[in-house]
Parts: sequence; structure tokens; C-alpha cells
Amino acid sequence: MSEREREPKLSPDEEQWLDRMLQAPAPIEPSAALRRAVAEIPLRHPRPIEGSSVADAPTFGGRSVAALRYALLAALTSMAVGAWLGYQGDVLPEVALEDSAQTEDEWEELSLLAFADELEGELEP
Amino acid sequence: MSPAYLDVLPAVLAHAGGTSPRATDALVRADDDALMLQVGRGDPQAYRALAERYLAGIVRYATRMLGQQAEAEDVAQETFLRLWREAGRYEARGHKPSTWLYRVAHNLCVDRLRKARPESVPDEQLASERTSAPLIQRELSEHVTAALANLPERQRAAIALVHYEEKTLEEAGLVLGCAASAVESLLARGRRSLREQLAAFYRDGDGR
Repeated sequence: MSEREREPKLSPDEEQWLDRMLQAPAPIEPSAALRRAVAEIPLRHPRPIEGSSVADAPTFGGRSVAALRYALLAALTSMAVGAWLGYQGDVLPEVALEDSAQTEDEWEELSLLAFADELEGELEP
Repeated sequence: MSPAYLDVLPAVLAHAGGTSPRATDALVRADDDALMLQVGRGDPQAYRALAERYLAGIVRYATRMLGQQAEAEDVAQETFLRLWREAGRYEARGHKPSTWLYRVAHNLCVDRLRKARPESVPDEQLASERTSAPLIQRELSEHVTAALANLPERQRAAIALVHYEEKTLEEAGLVLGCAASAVESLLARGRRSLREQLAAFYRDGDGR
């Protein structure tokens, strides 16, 4: 005889009574706060739409490979920008010198204006 | 709703060919599968459709398991967060998405029960019913809730899934990770235990 057959069973009356008893507890409903929190999960935990990421593009393969390629790309870009700035650095000082090629007279005039050395004379009646 | 979801429905309707319970079940199943696929692709509308459909059931189940609605709501929130994050890894393998959700919730409940103190007292909201309910009804509700809480974890889970969530023995077995015959045995033991605990309320002929 199997274990299940040995187990005493409830009578049909008891079964029906128990089914009714199990209906006694009040219905359980999720709270409004929970409904709101669950509905907001996609907003609070945004996920990229599949296929929208560059990493998903066929040429980039898997995500780990894509991450390595991103790093390599960033390094190459930095080097290229650095090289370009270095080249520009050789050119910029000359441009700066041309811009600042003011005469001594112009500087003197600016100093007079700034320090108002001759202001007293101008204020005299 | 998403185009893939709309694509599936006519085929299911044609296949189901009516509104019998089996046809309805097939319709819901295909619907759920399509929604799950869309959630896996990051579609928030599909996620909300599944949440709307199963949130109440998950909260009911977790509350029956934990005896406290506040804690059950934490479990429900975590369950739906996992749905949103991990639906992409969901593989049907003959299981319904709802079964997957209940299994996640069940595992979270078991984790909490094992961490929690042994004497978990059901909260007042669950035990005392609505204040407007008649006294006898409230008292009865408290006794039934307490009797359920006294059951061993797996017997309680079997009764909550089959009796309250109307799962089949096979579905309950998938949630609990056991065979349908084992669920049947858990149910029989659980019901016998409830009958003994609630004996004071039973009189001969009550079933009729």
C-alpha cells in the first residue's frame, strides 16, 4: 500500500466544509502605493530597447568585445586629438604674437587711462 | 500594444476557435508568451500589461505565505523588478510566464521565511478582516488565517496555489519544484491539518 493510500482522507462533508472555511479570510488586494511603484519600475530602472545599442550591431559582436573596442576607439581618438593639438601648438604662439604686436605708445596710453595719471589736470577748471 | 503581440492574437483565436475554458487558457497563454517576449525586448507597455494581470495574484500568494501584507508587497515589487530586468532570459520550456512569476515570488518568500524569526505573527490587516465585517466572520477569518500560518511552509504554499490561486497540480508543482503527485500529497496533509486546527467550528452535517 502506498504512503498516499495510507493517509486518512477527509469525508466529502468535511471537504466541502473546509472549502467554505478557506473562503473566510478577507480578499487581499495590492495597495495603491504598490500598484504605482510596480508601474513605475520601467521608469526607475530604464533598459535599452533591444537593437538600439551600438554594441548590438553585428559588426561589434558581443558586449564584452564591444566594450574593448570602445576603449580602443577612445584611446585612438585621444591620441589623434592630442596630435592635432600639438600641431596647433606650434602655430598658435605666432598668431598670438601677431595679435599682441602693439606698440609701446599704445601700452603707455592704456596705462594712463588705467591709472588716471593726468586726471587731475583734466579736472581743473 | 506592440505589433508582435497583435500578430499573435488572430492565429490564436483561429486555433482556439471558441471561448471554452481551454480556448481561453490557450489565448491567455499565447498572449502572455507574446507579452513576455516584448518585455524581454524592453517594452514597458507589455511589462505593465503583465503586471496588471498578475500583481494581485502575486500579492495574495505572498501574503498567504508570509502572513504579512507589507512584507508580501515588498516581495511582489521585487518579483516584478526581476520580470522587468530578466524577462530577456526567460525561456518557456513548456512553462507559463505566470508560473515563472509565481516561482520567483515563492523563492523570495522562502528566503524571507528562512531569515525571519520562527514565530511569525500574521499582521492585523490580514487577520482581523475589515472592521465592518460581522464579529463572527472576523473571528472565523482570524482562526483560518492563523491555521494557515501554522501549516508547514510547503503545505501552505500548496493550498495557497491550488485553492486560492486556482493553479493545477502540475502548475503548482512547477512553482514548488516538485511533481504533481507530491503537490497532491501536500494538499491532503495540509487540509487534514486545517480540519484538525479548525475542529471547534465543525459540526456534523456542516458540509451539506
